[in-house]
Amino acid sequence: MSWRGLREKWALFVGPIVILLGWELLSRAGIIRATFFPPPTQIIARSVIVFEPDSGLGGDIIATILRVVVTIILAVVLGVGVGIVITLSQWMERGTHTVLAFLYPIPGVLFFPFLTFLLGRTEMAIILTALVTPLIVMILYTVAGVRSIDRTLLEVAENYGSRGMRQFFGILVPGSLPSIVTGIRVSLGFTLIAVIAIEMVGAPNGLGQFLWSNWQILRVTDMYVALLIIAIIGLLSSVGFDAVADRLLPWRRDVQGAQI
Amino acid sequence: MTVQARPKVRLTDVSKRFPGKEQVTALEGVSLDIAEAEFVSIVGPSGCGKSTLLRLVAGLHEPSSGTVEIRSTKPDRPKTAMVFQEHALFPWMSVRDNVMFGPRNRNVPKKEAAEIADEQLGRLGLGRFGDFFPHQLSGGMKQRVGIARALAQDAEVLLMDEPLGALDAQTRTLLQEQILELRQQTKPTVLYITHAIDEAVFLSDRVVLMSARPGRIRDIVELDFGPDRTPELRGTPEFAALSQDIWNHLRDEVQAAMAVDDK
Repeated sequence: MSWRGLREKWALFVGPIVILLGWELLSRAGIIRATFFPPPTQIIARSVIVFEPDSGLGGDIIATILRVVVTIILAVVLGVGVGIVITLSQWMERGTHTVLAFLYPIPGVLFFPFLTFLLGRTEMAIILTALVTPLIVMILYTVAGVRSIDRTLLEVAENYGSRGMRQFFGILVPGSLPSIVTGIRVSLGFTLIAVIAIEMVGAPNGLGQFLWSNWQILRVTDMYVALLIIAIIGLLSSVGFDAVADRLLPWRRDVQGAQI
Repeated sequence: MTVQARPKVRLTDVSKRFPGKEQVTALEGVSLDIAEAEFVSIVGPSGCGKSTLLRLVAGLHEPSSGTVEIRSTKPDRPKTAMVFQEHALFPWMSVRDNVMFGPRNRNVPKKEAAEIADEQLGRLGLGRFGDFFPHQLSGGMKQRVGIARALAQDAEVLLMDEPLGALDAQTRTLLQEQILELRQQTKPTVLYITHAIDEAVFLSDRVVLMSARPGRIRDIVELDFGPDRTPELRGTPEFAALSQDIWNHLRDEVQAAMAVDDK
């Protein structure tokens, strides 16, 4: 970010700084209990445990990121495929609508006990549980994407003889990409939430597990370090994703019906 | 121009109804022959079924009754290529890929299709813009890409659905001249839809006037300016008189259409 950009965007940092400063002062003054709310400077100073092999935090970060990456890849590949296939027939769209609407609001982590019956407390159970919500999100955004393709463009495709696979890969997939990209962005958030939640209740490692186990032994500062890292991962993933998406789909903001 | 032995396009008693709560009859009893290399324009009030007529010829809709025939000269030559009102370029394809779209769908090898595309882009003065994306072009340029895409099809009939409708007056005048030039170079068979009477008179051999819904042919005006007309035609008294004459014919229909809209 250029100096000029920074000058225009300084307001973005006011909120976080005010909150952190207030927290710092209240905690140091003893108005809130430092045992539960250690001053932010202390948390930041404690963050060096990331680089200490004994803490195991480095490995937990990698475990969590891997789970998120695997889950999001599965969600995108399966969701886009299923989503486009659904739109090929009106019956299929109606037939799946109820199921999707029923599953969507259920917090994904509730599927974990059920899946452990089938798979045991395995990595597979963790990934599949985390997959539920992002997969539904990807299906819904893909369907919306296909629906949002300008009707005239479909007429062009027909008049210029685009059929079958050519129509699928040449028109339907790229035409719904702007919506799919928005779907991926939303899914990334859901995936991170789901993975952390599952790790808290039933994984041998990962940031969620680290956070939970430190809470149980009241190593509060370490717990906050994990929290901070989770927030940073979330922030970086969405900011980074937007930058990549804008580069890969420069026309994204040019398309009618694309939610940004 | 009188109709020769066999017309290129023949519409016989074509009607189109759209079913729904209130069935809409868009077209009724339309019969029209278009000769090889003829340029026919259709003018009429909005909602008179002009676009529907074009889509029937393009095969995008089926007529409810009547027939649409297009005479093929070569078995694998596409029957129609359409230029759409709002350019309708694929935003995710480069300009060149947009123009190659038709040939690629007919499995023309990539290199050959690219050559066709570059040739057509060159004709429309867009030779340098093959690698651009539509969102980087102005409205007039996009519409020219749309025209190049249709020309790359080398179809039996060129269909144009108010291609200049969304452009500003100056760009429009310029593109009218460019279309005239294309007409003189390649002598395509064209069915052209427009609201602009002067545009129809400037470009066409015949102007078909349509009535308010349900769309019927009210009148056909033959123009004998010939294909070798020049942009100066616009300044002649004949041009002004004909445009006025057509407007006089059309005025009642436009008023009728507005009365329907008000209800």
